[in-house]
Amino acid sequence: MTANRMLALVFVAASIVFLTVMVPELNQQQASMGGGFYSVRPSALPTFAGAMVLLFGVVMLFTDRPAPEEAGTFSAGIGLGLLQIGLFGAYALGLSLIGFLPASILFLAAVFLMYRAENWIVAITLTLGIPILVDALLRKVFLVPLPGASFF
Amino acid sequence: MDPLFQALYGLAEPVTFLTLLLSVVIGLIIGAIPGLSVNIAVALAVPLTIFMPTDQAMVMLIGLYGAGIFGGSVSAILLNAPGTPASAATIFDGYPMAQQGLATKALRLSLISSVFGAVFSIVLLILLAPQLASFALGFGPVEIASLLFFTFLVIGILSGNSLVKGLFSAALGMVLATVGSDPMLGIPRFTFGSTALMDGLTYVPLLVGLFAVAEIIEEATRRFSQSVRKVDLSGEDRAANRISFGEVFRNILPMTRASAIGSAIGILPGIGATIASFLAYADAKRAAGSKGNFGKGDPRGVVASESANNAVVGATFIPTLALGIPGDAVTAILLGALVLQGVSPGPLIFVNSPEIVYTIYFALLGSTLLMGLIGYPAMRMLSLTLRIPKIYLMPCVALVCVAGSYVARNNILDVYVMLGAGILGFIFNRTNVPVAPLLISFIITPSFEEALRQALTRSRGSFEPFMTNPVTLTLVAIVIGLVGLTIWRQKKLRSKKAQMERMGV
Repeated sequence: MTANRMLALVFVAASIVFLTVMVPELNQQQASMGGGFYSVRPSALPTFAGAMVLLFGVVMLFTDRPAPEEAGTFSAGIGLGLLQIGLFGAYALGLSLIGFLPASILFLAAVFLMYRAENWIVAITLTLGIPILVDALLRKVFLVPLPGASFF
Repeated sequence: MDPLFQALYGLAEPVTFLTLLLSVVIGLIIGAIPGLSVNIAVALAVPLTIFMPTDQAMVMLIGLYGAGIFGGSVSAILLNAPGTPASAATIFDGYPMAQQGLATKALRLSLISSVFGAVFSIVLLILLAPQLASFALGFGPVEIASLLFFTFLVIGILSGNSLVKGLFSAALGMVLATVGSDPMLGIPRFTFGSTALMDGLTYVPLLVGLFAVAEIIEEATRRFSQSVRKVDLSGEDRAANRISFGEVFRNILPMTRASAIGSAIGILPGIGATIASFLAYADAKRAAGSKGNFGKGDPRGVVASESANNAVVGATFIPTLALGIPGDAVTAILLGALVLQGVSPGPLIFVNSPEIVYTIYFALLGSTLLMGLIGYPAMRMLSLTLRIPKIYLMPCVALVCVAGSYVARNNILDVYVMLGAGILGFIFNRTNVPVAPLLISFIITPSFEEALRQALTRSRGSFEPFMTNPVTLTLVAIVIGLVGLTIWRQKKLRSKKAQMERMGV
C-alpha cells in the first residue's frame, strides 16, 4: 500500500469515528444544555467538515496512482525523522518537568550528539548560548513566565 | 489625526523603522538559506508580534515577507537550490548565468525585477483594494458565507497538483477549526474537558508546526547537512557583472508582463508565488520565441520569474484586506496576526481602522525600497549565508519554534499542538498534500461558520436565500468552471504522460 493510500485510510477511519461517535456526543451535550431555539446546531459544521474529509479521503484512497519515481520516497530517512520527533516529544515533556532552560540545553545537546555535529566548540557554544539568550529575552524583555526552574 | 498621517507618523517612529529595517535584513538572510522558507520566517515571527503594537507587528511581518521572497533567489542562482519554493523558476537561467561568471549580474537583475514587481503590485493594491472593499461592504451573511466557502473550494482546487488532495487538506483545516467553543451558543466542541482547548486550537503553534517543525523533521531525515557550501564571488569580472540603464530598460516589457501575471495570480486565493513565477517564466519564453536563450542563462528568465513572485506579495493583500480572504499561506499568517492584535480583517477595516491599511501600504513600499537599497550592495554578504551548516541552524530554529509556540498563550499544550502539526505537515509534504489549504481554511472557518449560521438562523434553516442570491450563483458558476478546467488539465497531463511512457521517453 502506498503512503498516500495509507494516509487516506487513516483519515477515512478517523472521520468515521468523528462522525459516528464525537459529533453525536456533541448533539447530546447541546440537548442537555438547551439552546434548541436556534435553527442551526453547533454540530452542523463539524458534520459537514467531517463528511468532506471522509469523501475526499475515500476518493484519494481509490484514485491514487503514484508515479514510479515516487516509490520509497516516503520512507527515506524516516528513522532519523522519528528520532527527531521523539526528541521534540521529550523536550515538550521536559519543559513541564524541569523547566525551559534545562530542557532546552538538554534538547540541543541531544540533537548535536545524535546527529553527530562535527565541530564540538560550535555545538557546545550553541547548546549553552541559545537557550540562555532565549530564556533571558523572554523572561526579562517580554516578561513571559516560562515553565519551571529559572536560573535568572 | 488623518489616518494617512497617523500611519506615516507611526512608521517614522524610530522603533518601528528599526523593526522594518531589521526584518528586511533578516528576511533577506532567511530567504537566502535553503530550507528556511519565507513561511517559516513569518511563522516564527508571529509569537513576537504579540508583544508589539499593531503597526510595529505589521511592519515586521511584511518586511520579512517581501525580503524573504527575494532572498530565495540568492541560493537559486548561486547553488541551483531555491531558498524558497517561489524562486524555483529562477534556477533555470540564474544558475547557468552564475556558471558563466555572471552570478552578481543575475542577483542584481533579480533584485531590480523583484523591486519592480513588488512596486507594480503595491500600486495595484492601493488602486483596487478600496474599490473591492466598498463593494463588499454591502454584503450580508449570505454573501459572506458564500464568498468564504468559495475561497475554501478555490484554495482546495488550485493549490498543489491534485484537486482531491487540495480539497482534502482544506476540509481537514475546517475540522480542526471546529475545536473549541461554539461561536453562537458557547457549547464546547471536541475539547475533551480541557479548558485550554475552549478557545480552540491556537493558530500560532499550528502554523509553526505545519511550516517550521515539518521542515526540521524533513531536514533530520537527511541528517542535517553538515557540509559548508563555499560560494566565492570575489573572482568575478566586475565589468561584465555591471548593469546599465539600457539593460534595465530592455527588460521593462518582460518585467511588466511578469508583474501583471504575478499580480493576477496573487489576487486569486491559494495559488501563490511559486505558480506565478513558473507561469511568468513560461510566458517570457513563449514571447521570446526562437530569439531566446532560455535555460542557458537568459537574463529575461531571471527577470520574469523574480518580477512575478514579488508581484504576488502586494496582490495577495487585495483579497486579504478587502474581503478578509488570505491570498496565500503568508497572508493567512498575517491575517491571523491581525486578529491577534484585535483587528478584524475584511471590508470594515477600511472604515474602522484605515490607519492600519495605510500602515500596510507604507510597510510594503518601505520594505521594497529597503530591500533594494540593502540588497544591491550586500549581494556578496548574502552569499555568505549559504555557508551556515544546517546541523547548527536547524536545532536552534527548533528551540525558537518551541519557545514561540509556548509564548502564544503560556500553555504547554500548545507545544504538543505544534508537534502534532509538525508531524502532520511532514506527512503532508511527503505525500504531496498541500499544507496551505489547511491553514487558510482553518483561519477562515470561524468567520464562515458565523456567517452561515447567521444566514440560516435568519432563514429558519432554509438554504433558499443562497439559491437565489446573485453573488452566490456567480461564485458557484466560477467554481464549476474551475473544477472542469482542473479535471480537463489533469486528464490532459495524464494522457501526455502515458503517451511519453509508450514512446519510451
